[in-house]
Amino acid sequence: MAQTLRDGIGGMVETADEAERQLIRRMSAGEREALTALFLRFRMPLFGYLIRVTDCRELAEDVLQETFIAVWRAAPSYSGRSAVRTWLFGIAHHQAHNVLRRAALPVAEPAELERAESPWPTPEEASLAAASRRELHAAVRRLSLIQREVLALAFGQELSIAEIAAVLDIPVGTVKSRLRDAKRALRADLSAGKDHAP
Amino acid sequence: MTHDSMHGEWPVGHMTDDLPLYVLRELSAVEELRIREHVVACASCAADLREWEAVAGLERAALRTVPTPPRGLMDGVWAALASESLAPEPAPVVEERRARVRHTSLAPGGMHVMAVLLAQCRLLPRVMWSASAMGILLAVLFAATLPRGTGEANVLAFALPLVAAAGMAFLYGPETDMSLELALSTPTSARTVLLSRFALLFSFDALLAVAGTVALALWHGENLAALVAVWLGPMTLLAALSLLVSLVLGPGTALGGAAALWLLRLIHLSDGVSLHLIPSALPPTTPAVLLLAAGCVAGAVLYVPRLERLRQWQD
Repeated sequence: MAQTLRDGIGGMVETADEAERQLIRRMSAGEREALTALFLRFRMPLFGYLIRVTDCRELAEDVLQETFIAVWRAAPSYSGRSAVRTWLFGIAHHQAHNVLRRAALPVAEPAELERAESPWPTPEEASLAAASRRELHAAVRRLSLIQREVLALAFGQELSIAEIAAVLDIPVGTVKSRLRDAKRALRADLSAGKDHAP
Repeated sequence: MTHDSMHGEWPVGHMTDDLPLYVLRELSAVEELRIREHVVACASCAADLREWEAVAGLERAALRTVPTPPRGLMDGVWAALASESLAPEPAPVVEERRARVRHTSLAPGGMHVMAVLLAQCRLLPRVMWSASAMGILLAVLFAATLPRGTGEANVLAFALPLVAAAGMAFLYGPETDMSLELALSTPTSARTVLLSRFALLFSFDALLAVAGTVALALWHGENLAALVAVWLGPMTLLAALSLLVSLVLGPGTALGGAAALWLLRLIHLSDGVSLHLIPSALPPTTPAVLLLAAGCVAGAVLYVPRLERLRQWQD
């Protein structure tokens, strides 16, 4: 069912992507309006992703600006082998990490997080689904940067696992394990909060 | 299916790995049905699925409250780009980008070089490393089975350069490398990407070959330096040549060309067509040969931005 639906909208997606590729070509020919058009088309999803990743509206604005500067500069080297959306999110991801590093905000080492093992809670202990949206939101904000961004790309932007792998420059298996680790961390965070509650 | 059922009513275990994919609608209809049937019987997976749905719901809701970025943001973009060329020709923009990259890549010095090397190390397809290692291992093992002094050096001189050349033929190109495009969209120039990849794979091949030769020299009690000299020059030259040809004429031509060149050096017509492994037919390890190899690498590095522009126009 989902597959049929996806095939059905496949044609529409391709047309949209072709229009976006055209914008990149116009940009590499020096047309400023094309960058503005691309900005209008993607500002909301990119800004949404960046707010989620940086957890700060002002920082997200800075990164969004840096992203479109980088997009203009990189346009001539775009050869169309990845979708424009994937390419843009890849650039935004790089810029976010650069800006956060400059702002000296903690960017946890991926290796360190992927090594971290946590015990497997039984369903009775699982408190994530029972948590209120506010509690869950607060717990997501306490996640590491790389965990927040993989959740935002997957469930917020609804990028496929393969697209996320391309955006983050990591293998598909690592995307899946980061998703699992993020949920495990949320669960641990929420059950710890419950323990401390009076 | 990561661990066995804790409840016992579902004999095949949990579907932990597939649950996020189910929520992301990335599974086939059959797999989706399998999940739906499973969660009816398995409380643990049902709870797990509810958690994924809660997380997905939160992320979707968060997007709905995103404010519109301020209009003035693009003014900042144009102000930052004002100092750069906005000419309608793409070439100056490329030059501009490269000039900036050269500047930034010099500033942090060694740290930047290390970062680029590490990144490329991760980005090169894994099969490249395993195939090269396998080729070298086989060559060394075959050489080791020969009795001492009966031409094991010739085997190394023949096989090791071919293994290195095969790797180099596929070192750079979107046909073999999905992440290349992303690597090129970051502020690392195509030349840096190419050079760092060449350095990485060549060092890897050379180190493994040296390790194999050390083992062989110990096993047979032969002169290590002489054994290394037999293959080092040919390997460097053929690898560099293969890299250059793969950029200009494609990986297939590079691989075929390298193999043909090598075989032609070894065919002797004196007593019918026969193959003789004679090291003197191959380029020796001399400064001139190494310089020629360096020339090929330099040619490839000079050529690669032209290649990227060609590909861009083809799109």
